Parts: sequence; C-alpha cells; structure tokens
Amino acid sequence: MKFTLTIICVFATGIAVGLTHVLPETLPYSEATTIILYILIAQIGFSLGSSPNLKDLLKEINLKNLLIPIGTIAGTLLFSLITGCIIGKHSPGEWLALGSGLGYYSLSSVLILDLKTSQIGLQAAQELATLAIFTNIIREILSISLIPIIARKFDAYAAVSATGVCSLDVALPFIERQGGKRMVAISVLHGAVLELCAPLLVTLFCMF
Amino acid sequence: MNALFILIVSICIGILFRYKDFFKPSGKIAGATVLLLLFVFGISIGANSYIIENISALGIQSLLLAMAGIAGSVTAVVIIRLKFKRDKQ
Repeated sequence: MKFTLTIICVFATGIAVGLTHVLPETLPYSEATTIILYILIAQIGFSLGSSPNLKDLLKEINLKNLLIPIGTIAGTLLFSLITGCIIGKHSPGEWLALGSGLGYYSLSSVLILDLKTSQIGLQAAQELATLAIFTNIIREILSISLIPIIARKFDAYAAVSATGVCSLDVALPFIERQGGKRMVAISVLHGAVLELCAPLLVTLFCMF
Repeated sequence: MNALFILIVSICIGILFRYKDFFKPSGKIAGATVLLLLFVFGISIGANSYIIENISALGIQSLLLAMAGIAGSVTAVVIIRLKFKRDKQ
C-alpha cells in the first residue's frame, strides 16, 4: 500500500511538473517512456524467471486453479467492452485494450502510449494511456478495499479475481488475512498469469 | 511486439541465472524504474492541456471502467465456482 501511495505521489509530481510547462513541449516523451518501459519489462521478466518460488508456482498449475485467472480475464474484458461501448468515444478494440490492463497500471498505460502513438497520433494515444493508468490505479485501490466485502458476500476466490494483477503483490497480505494461507498460492498464481497476459492482451487489442 | 519479445527473453535469461546470487535486488530496481517511468509519463500528461482540461471526464470514465472490470471478474469467478460445486455433487 505504501508503495502504491509513493507511485501516486510521484505520478502526481510529474503531472505538476508538466503543468508548469517549464520543459519544452517538443521533448521526446514518447521515446523516453518507451525506453524506460522496455527496461522495466526486462526487469519484470527477469524477476519472474529468476524467482526462487518459480518451481512452487509451477506446481500449482492445474485446470482448477487456472480457471480463476481465466475467469478474471474473460469477465473483465466482457464488462469493459460493454461499459466502453456505452460510454462511446473509443473503438471496441481500444476499450478492450484498456480493460486488458487487468490492474497493471504502469505497464499497460505506457504500453498503450507506445503502441497507439503511431496509429492514432500522440495526443489520442496519451488520452488512452491516461485512461489506462487511472482505470487501473482505481481498480487496485477499489478492489483491495472491497476484499473483505467480496470475500464475505461471495468467496475468497472472487476477492482474488477482483484485485487483478495485484493479487501477486500489493493485495496479497490482505487476501491472506481474509482467506488464510491456502489462498496465497492461488493468489500468486492468479497474479502471475495475469501479469503475463496483460502485455499480451494489450498488444493484441491495440491492433484494432 | 517488442515488449513481448523483451518479456520472453528476459524471463528466459532469468531462468538461466536462477542460481546466481548477484541479481537479488531486482525487485527494488524494478520499483525504482516504475517510479521513473510514471514520473516521465506524468510530465507528458501534465503538459497535455487537453487531458488536464478534461480530467474530470476522464476520471469518471476510468472509475466506470474500473468498476466494470471488478464486477466482471467477480461475476465470472462466482459462476465458475458455482459450476465447480455443482459438478462435485
């Protein structure tokens, strides 16, 4: 939670700096964010591959446990698409790309910025990227706050699903507190699967 | 596409280097990178007058989309879990 707050503060500070227009508008923001993005992806991938818990994680892979992240993805995409088409303004593909973030705000937003700039121009791409980061930050905060309520009304699996990617890290202590130690492996697996699928799906839907 | 390629390659490199000790702080470095990324991204957003002017509209759309995502996930998993319970019986 502390890290999420730090991230929001840093992001807000960046916006504040941008607001002052002290830096020229013609700076290569898109290129800069793309490079940093690729560095981040490399670090995430490396972290995942070299994780000492990788073997334990792979042991948990079976159809029953994989159905939870599959459900998260399917449910998120469907409801995002419907909501997006009601709001209008963007193409179905773009709404799906936004939903595909699955809570992964840092990666999905900048990835959308990177992929969409050449397609629809920097301005429109920045708007989509902003939607992406806001949507996914709100999802993280909202879903974690709702963990007790969802777990009580439905079950712990639903609470895991609601949190999306952050079931892997940020939400994990809350899920463990709510659902017990047995939910930890499922939560981590859920988050890991989503962490891998998010860039895939975002890339896919950005083509439309 | 580049992003996916980098992801796959870095996972493979990570698996190869699993038993070496020198890359332990990779999580913290990734955290610093996220902060840098969002700072630069934030600057580009702040400098974008259209977004700042429409920030409340964008905020509302984001809230709706976030709620949709949560609702969709929960719905799907509840259905899946119900089906599992039914299959057991």
